Amino acid sequence: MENNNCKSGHLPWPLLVVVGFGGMIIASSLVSLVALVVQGHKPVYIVLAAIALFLAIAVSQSDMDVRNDVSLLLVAFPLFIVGFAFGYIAGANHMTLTLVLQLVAAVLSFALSKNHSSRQLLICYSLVLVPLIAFSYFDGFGSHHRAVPHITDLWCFGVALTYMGVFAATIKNGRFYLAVFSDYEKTVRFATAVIASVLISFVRHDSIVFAFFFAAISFAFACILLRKYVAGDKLIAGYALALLCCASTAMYPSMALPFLGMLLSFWIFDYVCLAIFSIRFVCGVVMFYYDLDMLLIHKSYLLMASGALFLLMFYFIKRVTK
Amino acid sequence: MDDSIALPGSDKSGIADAKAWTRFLQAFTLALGSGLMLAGIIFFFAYNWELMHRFVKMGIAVALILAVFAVSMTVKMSDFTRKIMVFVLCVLVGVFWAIFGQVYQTKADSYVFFLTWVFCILAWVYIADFYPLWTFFIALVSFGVIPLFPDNDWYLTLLMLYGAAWIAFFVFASKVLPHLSAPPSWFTSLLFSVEFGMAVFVACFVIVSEDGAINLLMVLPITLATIWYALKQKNIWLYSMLFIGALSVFECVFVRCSEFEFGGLFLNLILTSAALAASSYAIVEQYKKWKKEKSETSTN
Repeated sequence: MENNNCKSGHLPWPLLVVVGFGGMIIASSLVSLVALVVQGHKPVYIVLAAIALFLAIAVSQSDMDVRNDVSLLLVAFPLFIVGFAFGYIAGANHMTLTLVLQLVAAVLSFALSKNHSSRQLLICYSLVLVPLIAFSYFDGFGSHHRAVPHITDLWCFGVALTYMGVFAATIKNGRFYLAVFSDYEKTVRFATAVIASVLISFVRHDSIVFAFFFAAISFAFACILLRKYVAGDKLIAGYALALLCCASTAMYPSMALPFLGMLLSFWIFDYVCLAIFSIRFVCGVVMFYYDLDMLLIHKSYLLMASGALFLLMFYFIKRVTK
Repeated sequence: MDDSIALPGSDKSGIADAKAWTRFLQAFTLALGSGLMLAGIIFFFAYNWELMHRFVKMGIAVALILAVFAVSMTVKMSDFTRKIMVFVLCVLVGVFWAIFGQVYQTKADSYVFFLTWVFCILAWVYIADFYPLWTFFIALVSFGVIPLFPDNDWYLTLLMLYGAAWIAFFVFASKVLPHLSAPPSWFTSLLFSVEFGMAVFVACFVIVSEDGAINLLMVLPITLATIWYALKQKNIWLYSMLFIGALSVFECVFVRCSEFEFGGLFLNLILTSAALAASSYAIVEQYKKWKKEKSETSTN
């Protein structure tokens, strides 16, 4: 399943923008063209979807230099879009099943194709599909599942937590490192960071238990760092301060997850993900302002106390590293 | 004060080491601590806003302006940090005018607010010579000036002329005006991208709506200027933007002319594929050529 021929990794990113833009136009023309001929015959769409995906995979098999990789992408990218679009047209009335099949098709396409850029797109698409399946399922059976409290929260939290796990699994030398992501570490990290950041918005703000989970992981991470770099009496003080700082993020899921994400991102110098989680953290503070479950003055006290703790931590680090 | 955290140390595997963590955590905890504290103070004032006297409200904004000004003038800091402080100062001026407008219910049009803000910070922006601040300044000026454009057939041309004026200012003024450094490439790329994007939008709008053809007179010089700049600066992003613009205009021509029948769609598919393939080929070739030239220059 591994691909070591990452020639397209050297493609200039403006070119990928052009190819992506043009690919979308080609795909939409192709879909319109077929729709004109096929009309409402859904079985035909299923067959065409299979053919388009098969062709896309076949095209993505070649191992060529940069310029040929572009031409491969020019063919493969529209074919993948067309294949998945036909899939949606065919299964419009059974969205959950369609999404599951899309996920299976995307994973299979990833496993069988060799073109690096195509595989990057397929990874992102597969990661987006997972939460969509749940949303589709719970909306489709809403009346039944509303009896289960916080089912959407649970699912979003579960996926966000899993994606943070996947994010951690891309970190070399980390305890959970998975070699399967070795060629696509940045793509996986980017996709999981964005999706987890979005998903955490769907978790109810008063679900402190979810925030506590992320804060606990952050604390465990802080403990590992402290044990590695601090010794003696200061270690105990460091533990206490780290516990308080992490606990202060546990008041809100939209702050706890980005806090953990920022630490993990810096660990591997992934500044793109660091920026994503930083923006998410600021968004979390803004969401906190508009949260109606708590008085503004209480929020103010909480934020000031958290700020004071982090400033204390800053002072502690200054003292330790003097 | 050493405020550079951009280049931390790492071990061979690209994982942060003790030195990197120290520098990062110092900046991280300081930023987070002061940020959360500031947010808490803002929340506190927001809670008590209605109870505060209007002079207290404006006094807070003025006090903040004076405090930031005093710190940036008296405390020893790097040039970059001082520029950030000036940026904060410029934002606080806007906060003051927003509170002023709210307290006295001036009912001024929004563009008056932005223009007042712009005039108050003009000197600081010029002296700071900080291009992120110039970007912010241009956005403010645009919010103030664009609503004043007359709503006639020349509206889109005026918009493009307005953008072109900014580009001309930054390309040429840095050579004439003292204290104004040459703009960084990201800044000019941004200006050209927005201007060219506007030109493409105008071309597409005219093609699809069959209205305002007079505005196309301005599209041509903007396109030529973008081509000239992309080639002169060897800017692959602007070079690629030209192809995206051409593809967009082509698709608009197709939407306008086609009847959405099989033949038309098929022709569009063939032509778009050919155009995209040719564009990609051209971009790759140009990219390789410029990269080679760059490596040769650096070797020499």
